[in-house]
Amino acid sequence: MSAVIEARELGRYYGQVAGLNELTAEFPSGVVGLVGPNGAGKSTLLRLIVGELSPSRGSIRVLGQDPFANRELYRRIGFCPQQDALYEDLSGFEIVRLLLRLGGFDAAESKRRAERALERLSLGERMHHRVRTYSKGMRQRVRIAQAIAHDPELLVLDEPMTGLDPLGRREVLELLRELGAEKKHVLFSSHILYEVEHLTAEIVLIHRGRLLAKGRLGEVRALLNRHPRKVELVARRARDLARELVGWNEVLAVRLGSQQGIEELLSVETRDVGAFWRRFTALAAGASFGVSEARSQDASLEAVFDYLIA
Amino acid sequence: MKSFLRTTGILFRAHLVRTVRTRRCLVATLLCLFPVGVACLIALVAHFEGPPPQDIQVALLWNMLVQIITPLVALSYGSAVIAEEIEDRTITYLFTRPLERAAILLGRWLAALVPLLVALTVSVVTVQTILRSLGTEEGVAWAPDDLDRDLLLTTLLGGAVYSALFAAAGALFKRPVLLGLGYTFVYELLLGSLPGSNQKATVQYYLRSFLLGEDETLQQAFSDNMALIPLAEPSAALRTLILILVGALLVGAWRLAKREYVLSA
Repeated sequence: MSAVIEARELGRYYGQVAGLNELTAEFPSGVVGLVGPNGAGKSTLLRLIVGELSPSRGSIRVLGQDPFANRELYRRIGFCPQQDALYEDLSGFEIVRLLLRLGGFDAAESKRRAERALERLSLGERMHHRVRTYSKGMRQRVRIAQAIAHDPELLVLDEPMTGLDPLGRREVLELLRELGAEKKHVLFSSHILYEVEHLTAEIVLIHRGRLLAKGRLGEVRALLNRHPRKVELVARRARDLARELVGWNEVLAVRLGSQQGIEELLSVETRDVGAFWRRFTALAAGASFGVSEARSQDASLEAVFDYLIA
Repeated sequence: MKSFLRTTGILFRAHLVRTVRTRRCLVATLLCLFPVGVACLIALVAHFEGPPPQDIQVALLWNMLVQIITPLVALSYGSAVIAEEIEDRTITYLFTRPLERAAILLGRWLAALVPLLVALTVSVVTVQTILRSLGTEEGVAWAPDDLDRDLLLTTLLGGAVYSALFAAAGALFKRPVLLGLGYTFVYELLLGSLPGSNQKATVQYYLRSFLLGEDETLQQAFSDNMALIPLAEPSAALRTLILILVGALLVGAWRLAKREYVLSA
């Protein structure tokens, strides 16, 4: 089967800032988790997928169509945005029914579908209360309800667990699992890997607007584990330290860098940064190499690796 | 077309009640009550001092109600038509539905137009009733009776045109209220008051032409309060005003169809 979503060198810029940068990826059918730390570009990508934004460069196809302002496609897509925005003076039921009416359903069918969707999200009792009286979790359920009420082929959810209590999270996870079992395509974003793992093994990992990895979670973890990473050390006895490190299994290469006063910079490439740091900590505590600084070259990228590999 | 009208109708009904519940409706009502308050004050003074001069009545009905209150009330309602959806970040829901975006503008503008016209009608009729009861210092009615009807029509027409302009501004620009205030006080009031053909570039000129037409007596009654230039025929003025209204909505709808809104989470 062809990909549900295809992005080709997709870029989206906000002035000088790149929200998404030359992303090329195909999203398979089924339930897919879009993973990345805050600010990675997940929301930008999802807004491009639902056609709320247009690409600055490259192209995107969703269910075989260009999504920007594509009315025909919107019948087949459900979108749950991240922002906590609702028509405050309407009830959850009124909001979902209104959006169904705007989707082309008649009054009776809209009412039936709205009630069904809200009941599915456990909002049956409060659906006729104004949303301004709802808790954060209830508001999130309304946002999800309006996304699923018209029974879309592709459901796009931006951080759907935000604001939900543990019970609510479990219910929503169960709902998404059910939708996946119904052969719907579900793409949801999260920065919490635990949530993703409970729902799907198929992930797309983005970081700083770029595709970092894609595939089964186990494969991605293994891939990242094998990915060489660089650390930098500043030490007084840098040459002695380099001689020591060269003998380690975890270390692929050691380079001496510039002199910094009486200290020298050491650039180390390692195949297993976790094991390296553990061994290095013990070494630094036991021997006097005069290490004054130890840093990863890309701290935020490290965070991504760490939380994927943990 | 059928689907467009259906969507417009759904949005109109959904937002009519919502518009009345908003804070801007309260602001608009207070604005409309202001000339009524001034008319009451004039009536109080008239009780002791005798009927007011004709100029004061023209100033209240034309300069205050038509030139200032009408655009401000229209700004209050009109600027919110699209800007409210953007500020509240609810436009996402509408933009990801299979509907023609132009229907959002039209449906919401019509929903704003109803309370706007009701508020202006109440204000104009009340002020006119109070002023008619006072007479004038000159001992005659300040204007013919049928001017009341024409003035009401002019005010409502002005409200509709200004609200369409401000609704379009909401689709085109980020800060339609600031822009609208600048437009009302700098462009319309200043440009519309300076002598010269520049007046023809304002909505005020066509509203004035629609109201006064070629009636020299009426023009005389208004001439002390404004720098009059030769006015357009009322029918031509009406056509121009309708053209501005429709043009504004079309431009707004066109922009909305192509525009994307970057909303923060």
